[in-house]
Amino acid sequence: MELKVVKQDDDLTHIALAGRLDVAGEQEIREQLLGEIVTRKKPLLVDMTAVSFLGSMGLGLLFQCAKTLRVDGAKMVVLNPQPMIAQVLEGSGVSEIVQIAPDMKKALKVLGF
Amino acid sequence: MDKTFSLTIRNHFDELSRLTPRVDEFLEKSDVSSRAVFTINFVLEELLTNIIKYGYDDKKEHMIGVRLDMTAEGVLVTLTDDGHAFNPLDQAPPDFSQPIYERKRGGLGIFLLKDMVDHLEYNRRDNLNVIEVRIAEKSG
Repeated sequence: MELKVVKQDDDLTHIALAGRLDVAGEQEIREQLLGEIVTRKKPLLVDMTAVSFLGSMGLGLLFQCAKTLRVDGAKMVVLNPQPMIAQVLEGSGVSEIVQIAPDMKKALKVLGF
Repeated sequence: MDKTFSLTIRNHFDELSRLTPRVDEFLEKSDVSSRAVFTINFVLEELLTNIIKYGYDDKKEHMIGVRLDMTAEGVLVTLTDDGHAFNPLDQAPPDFSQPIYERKRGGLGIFLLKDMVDHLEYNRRDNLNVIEVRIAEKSG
């Protein structure tokens, strides 16, 4: 699993994930995501276009990020997840706080821009 | 074209990384839909993670059998392990009456899995746990 920081400024953090967010993938990005990205306390946009799989460990990590950001009043949105990943987010209820957006314009709107 | 995939893995999480590309290769050659491929990966990750975490009373190495059979209806996944009698399907589902922030962790993977597959069955045979999962291939 690859995590790339696309943009980080005073307004938001925009990252892109690529690969499988499975048991191994979750371990690979967990420290950076929780230790560097979420600790910025900025609205978070996660581009999931290139994520091919999401298991329950990865789902738990996304939820943990959103829950932590929420404490600081920041929202989180995932951009363009593939249909089965969207189904997992919605079926689990995690989409209540990790909103799903099909395109950048809608994603930025979710975050308040 | 092979209609069956079979691999034995050790009860370690890093074995999942060895299993996944082999499963995906088999499914691709079998022309399985992307929806079913995702579901099978989800099933394998969830159930194998539970077996590895909770299925054994010792720290010894154990072997887990993973089998995929192509059938007329779809794909039959069979997992076999020699851990103590353990049915991962017995896990309590999340309490959806609670707001998401207050729900206890756990149970979510199995809950989702039950909704994604067409048939799910656990049996204990000859001191082995056997889980069978059927994922139908829908046309269109």
